[in-house]
Amino acid sequence: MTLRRLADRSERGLATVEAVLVVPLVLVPILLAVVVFGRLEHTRLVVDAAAAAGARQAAVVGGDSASVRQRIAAELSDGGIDPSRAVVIVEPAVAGWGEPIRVRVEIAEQAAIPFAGNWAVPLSGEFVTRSEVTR
Amino acid sequence: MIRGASRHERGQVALYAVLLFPLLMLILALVLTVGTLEGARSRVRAQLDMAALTATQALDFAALARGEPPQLVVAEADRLAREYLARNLATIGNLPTSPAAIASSAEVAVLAAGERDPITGVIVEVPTVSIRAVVPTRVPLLNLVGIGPVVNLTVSGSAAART
Repeated sequence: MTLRRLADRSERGLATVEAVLVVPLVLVPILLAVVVFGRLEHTRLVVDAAAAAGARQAAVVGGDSASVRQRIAAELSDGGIDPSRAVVIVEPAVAGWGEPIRVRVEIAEQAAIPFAGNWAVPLSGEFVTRSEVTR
Repeated sequence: MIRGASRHERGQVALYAVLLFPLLMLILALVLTVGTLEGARSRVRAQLDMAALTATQALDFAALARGEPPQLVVAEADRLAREYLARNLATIGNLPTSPAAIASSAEVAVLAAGERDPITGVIVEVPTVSIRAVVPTRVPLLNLVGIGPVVNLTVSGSAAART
């Protein structure tokens, strides 16, 4: 067997080996990045919707109350997010007629892309509304 | 023949990967940009709805007390719509224009029952507040690399006062 023949045989299947390396290291992370981004964007929309619903409830009851937190928890659950992971801020706790009320929902998400990295992504939704309660 | 083919295929997948990589990154960047801008549009729309809903609190209580049908105090509804639009826009951060400037240049329509809404085009059955605003938004990824072009999102929101 000549040296040339040996070299050719050693290159057999090289394309397969390259494909095995390239697909998981390059293509899969890019595709997964799209999926991870979609999931983060979904979470952000749910958090926004929860904050908006919470703000409406806060305007109706004039500040912070169990019903505001229940409303936010229900919206988060409907969106497939565990409400216990969310931090809810309602300021002020008691607001008179015409006073602004700020409702903020925060959640710490993780973006994990194989072969690329793992990042903490803080997401939040915030709305300002006006109290409808005369005290 | 086989020898030639094998030599010819040397590094072909790597070449494809090198050529495809920028294209895939471009597609990824496009997905991120469009997704983020649509996310921003959705948030601003919710903020406009919130501002319009807040403005419907400007009911004419004296008229209500006289037993008249509900109507809005136009100046107060207009003021509330702009104030709460600015307050809500301020929660976004990193806007290229100040929230107060966006709110003051927004189109606000305070309508009585039976009037045509110039923003949505419908004839309203109850007192309604509609808002249309142009919100300049930075294109996210390009902003990261320091180019920072701005896209104007035109968004509208509407709310009706029911008693």
